This record gives sequence, C-alpha cells and structure tokens, in this order.
Amino acid sequence: MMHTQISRRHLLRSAMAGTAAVGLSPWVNSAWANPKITQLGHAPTLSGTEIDLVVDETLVNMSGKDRMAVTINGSLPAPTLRFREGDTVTIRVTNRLQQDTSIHWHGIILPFNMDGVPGVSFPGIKPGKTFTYEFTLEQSGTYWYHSHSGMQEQQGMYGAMIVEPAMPEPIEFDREHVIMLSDWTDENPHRIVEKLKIKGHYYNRNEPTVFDFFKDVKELGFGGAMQKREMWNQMRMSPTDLADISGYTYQYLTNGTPQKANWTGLFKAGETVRLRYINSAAASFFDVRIPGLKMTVVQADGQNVEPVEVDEFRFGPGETYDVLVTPVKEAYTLFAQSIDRSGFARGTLATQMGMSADVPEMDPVQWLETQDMMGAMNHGAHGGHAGHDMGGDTMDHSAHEMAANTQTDHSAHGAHDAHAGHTMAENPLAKPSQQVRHSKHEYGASVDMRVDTPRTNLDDPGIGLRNNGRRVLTYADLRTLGGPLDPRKPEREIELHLTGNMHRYVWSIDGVEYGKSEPIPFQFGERIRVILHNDTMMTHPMHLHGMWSELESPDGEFLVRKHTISVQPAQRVSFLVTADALGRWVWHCHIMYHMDTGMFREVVVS
Amino acid sequence: MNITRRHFLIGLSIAAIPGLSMAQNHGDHGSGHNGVHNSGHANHSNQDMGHDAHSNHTPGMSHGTKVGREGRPQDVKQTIQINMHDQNKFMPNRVEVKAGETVRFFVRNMGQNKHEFVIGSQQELHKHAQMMKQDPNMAHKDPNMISLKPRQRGGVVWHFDKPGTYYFGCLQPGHLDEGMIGTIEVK
Repeated sequence: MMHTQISRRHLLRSAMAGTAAVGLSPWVNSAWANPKITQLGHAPTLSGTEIDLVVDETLVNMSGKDRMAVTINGSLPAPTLRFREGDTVTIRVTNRLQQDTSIHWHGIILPFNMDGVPGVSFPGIKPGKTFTYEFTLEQSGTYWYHSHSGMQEQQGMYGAMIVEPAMPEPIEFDREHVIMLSDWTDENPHRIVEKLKIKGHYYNRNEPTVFDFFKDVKELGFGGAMQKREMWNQMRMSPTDLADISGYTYQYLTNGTPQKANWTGLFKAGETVRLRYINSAAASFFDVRIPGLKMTVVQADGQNVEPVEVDEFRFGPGETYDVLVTPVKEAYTLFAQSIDRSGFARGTLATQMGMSADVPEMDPVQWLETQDMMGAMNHGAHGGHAGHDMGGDTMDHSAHEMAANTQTDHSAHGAHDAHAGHTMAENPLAKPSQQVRHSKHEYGASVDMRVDTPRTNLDDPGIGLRNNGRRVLTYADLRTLGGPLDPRKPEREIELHLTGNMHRYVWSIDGVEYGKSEPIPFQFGERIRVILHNDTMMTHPMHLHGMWSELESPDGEFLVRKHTISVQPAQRVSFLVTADALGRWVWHCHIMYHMDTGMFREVVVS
Repeated sequence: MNITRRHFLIGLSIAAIPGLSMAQNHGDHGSGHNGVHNSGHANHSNQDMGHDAHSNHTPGMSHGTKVGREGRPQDVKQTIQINMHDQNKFMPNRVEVKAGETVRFFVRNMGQNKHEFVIGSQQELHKHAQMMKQDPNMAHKDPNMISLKPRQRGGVVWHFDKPGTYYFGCLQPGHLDEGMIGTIEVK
C-alpha cells in the first residue's frame, strides 16, 4: 500500500559503495564490510503483544552521498507498532551498535523504569545486549518512539506507534496513512553541536543583507533602518533566528524519504483518509498543508479533540496531529515547509503510484516581530519596567520573586459553621499567575535575554503564519473530548523559565543547565500548575515524560491534553499535571540540540 | 516593522554579566520549597447550602461532614491510593490514619461508570445517599468528596483530629447499598 519511488538502480548504487568504508562519514563503524541497505519509506507494521526490535547501523543515500543511519530492523522510519489499548506488550530491543542505545515510548503512560531514558529510568542498553520492555497500554491514539541516546534520533532511529482504542472511537475513516516528518543531515550531528557552539547562527542563511538594508531605508528612512540594525546588533541576535539548523545542512523527509523520492500514499476517490502526522524531527518545526484540501484535526498528541477544520498547522518535534481529509482529485501534494523556510518535506496523496501535483512555493522568510521579542506590549499591568538597561541589567528583582503569597488558611471553613449567604473569596489559583518571577540564576552568563511582559494568548499561529490568508490551527482551537483527566483545581503553582544564550549556544531552564540542576519534586497525587515562560526568541516544544500536561487558557479553563507543548518566543503558557506516576522522569525541550546543551530537567514524583 | 529603541527597552532586558556564579541550588521558583509561589488550597467549599459558586446546579444540599476538616496540601503526611471499580467496590476498603495528621486520598476511577469518594460518618453517608436517590443528577461538591467520571483521577486532602472509625462511600444511586463503602481507622 505504501510505496516510494526509489529506483532499484539507486539502491544498487548505494550498495556498491558499501564495500569500502573509505569516504564514509567519520562516525561510521569501520568494522562494516558489507553494510546492509536501509529500507526507506515503507516501514513494516508489527503488531501483537510480543515484538523484537534490533538497532543497527545501515546504509542510506539521501543526497548522492553514502552515509550510515541508525535504524531499527533495517527500516527508516522504524517499524510501525500497532497495539491494542489494554494489552500488555513485551518488546525486546537488541543493540547491535558499538554504542549504548535506548528506546523512549513518546507520550505513553508506563512505569518509570520502562520509559527508556538512560541514566534516569535505566542504565541504557549496552552494545550486544537485549533489554526487554514490558508495559500495559492504558491509552489509545497516535504516538511514536525514538532513541533517547546520543544523537541517534537525528540519525534515523524513530518510528510510529499506534494504539487501537478498546471502545469504538468517534473518528470514522476509510483508510489511513502515517505521515512521519523528520530532518536528515549528512553531517555528523556531534559536529553540528560544535559548530553551533562556535557560532550560533552557523546554519542561518537568511541573515539580513545590504539589499534588505536599502529596502528598509526606503521604508523607514535612513535613521529607522540604522536603528533596526542597531537593535539586533545590541542583542547579538539575528531577526531570522527561527531555527538553529536549517536546510543548509538538512534534508526534510516524509516517511524517511527525501523530496525527489516523492513518497506516495494511495486513496480511492470518495474515501475519508486519516493522516497520522508525527513530527519526529530532531530540530525542525514544520508548517503542514495539503494545497486544495481542508484538513479536519481530530486528534492532538494521541488524544481525541473536537473536530476543527483548518488549511494548515504548525507542529514541533514530538507533537502529533491526526487529520481527516476527503480528497476528490487524483493527486495532492503533502507539503511541509520548515519554520525558517529553508526547505520542505514533500509527499503525494494520489489514486495511483507515479502521480504528482503542483508543489507550492515556500512562503517568504519573516523577521521576528515585536510580540516575538517582548510579548505583550500591554503595559497596563506591568508598570515599573521602563528603563531597563540593555547594557547589563543588574536590577534586583528579588522583590518580585516572592510576590505576595496569598495563602490563607481556609481550614476553618471546613468545619461547616453556618455562614448563610457566605460567598467565598476568589480562589487565588483559579487563574494562572501573571506575575513574572525570574529566577536569580537568570542573571548569569547562560541567559542573553529575559522577557518581562510575556504574551499569554494562545490564538497566535506564530511567526511566518500570521495573516497568511489561510486558516491556521492554534492551541486556542483545541478541546480534548471528555475534559480533563482530573477535575481538581491546582493545589500549587510552579513557574519555569525557558532560557538560553544563542551566542554561546547554551540552553537551560531558569538559567541553570541540566548538569548543574536539581530535580523538580512533585508530591505523589498532587494536582499542580506549571507555568512555562519563554525568555528566548525560539519556540521550544517542551515534553514532560510519564504524565499528561493539560493545557489551560490564560483564564484557567481546560483546553487540551498533550504530552508536548510548544511555547512560542516571549510567550507564557500554563498547564496542569496530576503527579500520578511515582519515580524519576524527565522534562526537556524536544529540539535535540537544546536538550543536549542543557534544556533538560529531572522530575521526581515521590 | 519599526521598533523604536525606547519601545524596545521596555519589554526586554539583555543580561550581559558574564561569570556570575551558578550556584548548585535550585532557582527561586520551581523548586517546591524555596520561594515557590504556592497558594495551597484550591478547593473552596461552600458551606451549609452546598451552593457552589463555580457550578450551575440548583442550590441543593451540602454533603459535607463533621468528621475532621479539610486539610492543606502542604501539610500532607501520608498519601493513600484508593481505586474505585464498577463492581461497586473500593480497593482498598480499609485504611489506617494517625489522629492529628493530614492525609491525601488519591482516588482513581477504574471503571466505566461515574463514582464518588465521600468522607463522613456512616449516618451522614446514608443520609446523603438517600438525597442522591431522590435527585440523581444533583451536582454536589464539597471538600470532603470528589466525583470522578470514567478514567478520571483526583483527590481529597483531609485532616482527622480525633481517633475513631469513619467511613468513605460512593453516593451514586445504589452504590452504597451494594457495599461501596470503606472504613478509616483513626488511631
């Protein structure tokens, strides 16, 4: 059913190159005499309750150069696992690499020692060893799995996991396809990190040029154009820093295949097709659309939502959306451009193989706007910030940090004295706090900016998608069917700031990199509100392992249950978590390079 | 897009003090102790009329209790897990608590029907169950109880001041009669 157009000749060419390890990238295991060829573009489906997975290095050729990928069962993407809700599954993972490996089941609720994070959930899987995962599926929907070791996720180690619901579900469709989008580089990912450390903008090929300057002079006058440059120079940033790593090194893949392969999913006219979109990229946000087709979003991160019809959606690494489409023409392009417009992934939905539709032009690159840097420009409630000194802010914010703690002891009310007509005071935790509290560690070298007036609205599709004439999905559109998993209001609130220094390429939480941080404690059984406040100019897809994140509106209303929440630049969002899973978990940005350089924390539920 | 410098200064501050020592301890927020803005106490009950300002049910009755009082999350000394099942039973159905301690009951609905966990004396529970039979759709919400839809989880934080035998029950019509009740031994 799923075919790709990789010719046999192309495969043979790759195969011949495998006889010599010379010319392969430095991270290739030189012990290979005859490396196996990776099967691209049609992941086999494995189902049942006993699964065997083998992790190995296999050969790929995405762009004319032979490279080694890290794959599972020789396939990229890895096999699609199909399970049933309620089943207990046993998955044996054998490591044939020369390095440790691991598999994390992204978004799956399971015991912490099955979560697959080396050093936290378990020691990892040593070369030559087999680790047996066993867990019971207490959820259904579209999920995925990937390595949590080294840079293996960037090198091809990811696959889809679909859990069929035990009860009939409200989504009706005639046919389905997994659409797994990812990024591939011929470079050694470790080298990418080194380059970024030397120059954070290394892969940004959209930096303003002299032509932009003359255009600005025309629009803003000479003074204005100079001022605009001046501002960015002062911040030591670039207005086009939308993604760290771009199409300059990346190829964007649809189900493991580059553009030219034109991965094709088939349908019959009149069918309703369910597309399970999974962003399994290491570092890329995609803006997804199918020109000529409306998409009805029915599931977000594996959880059913009230259907919402859109032309386009953006999603970050780790997020998934299931959409229904009803195609009538013979062929449509599955188009997914990277957020920085440096390239796109492409596939086709067609009635037969070998067809294609027009591929749209990419949208123009947009510069970050005011709201991306400063958030809300409504200063009504945030007096007293004028006069922040750009040259080094030594203001002591300690006064803000312990904002009035409005804790009052209401225990007396529990005793049921008759208070006829008594109205309760407003619950101090009914709405997420708007009071910005920067940690004292945010005033160090790891942080190059702080946002004091964040925006809290969730109806902004984000930079590059604003007012583009298309109906673009936002978090404000999403409503999980059945409401929250826990009816309680939060019992306490914590605030975490997403921080970084672009220039040094370090990322952190509250200004503290993982290596210097302590775990965040959750008390078993508590209902907790987490506020994520983004003090950077990049969007971060934050993934909490082991527990659901229930996103709320700025007014504290439940919206949508997710496992990965993307926080836009200068944005402040909040969600509720029920600490219902004992053990050690992690919380991190799902941009692999941000996680790797420090935007990662351990969470302990005890 | 024309951002004036002044505008720009308002919203943003750039840190440029390299070499600040990064202490090994936690940030001032997010650590659960030092400096977390932590307003414990989120569920306000309403008193004798059971009229909850946040829900739109007809002013009904309170299903509160005189057994102990609502506790504060930060005082919790012990967490007890209780699962509710469609066979109309609690697992476990007997728990022990120390007098003077605040306990969190962390309750999960494992079934396909709605269930409730309500703390009270045997008499109070039976009285409230009768009321529910007369008006099965009566919304009720008090700090000593939590109503859970299928697959939901939640909790009650309670302080027991006096030793004695107390109860928790499900007030959904018929459930208590079928034995959906458990005991709390306060010692």
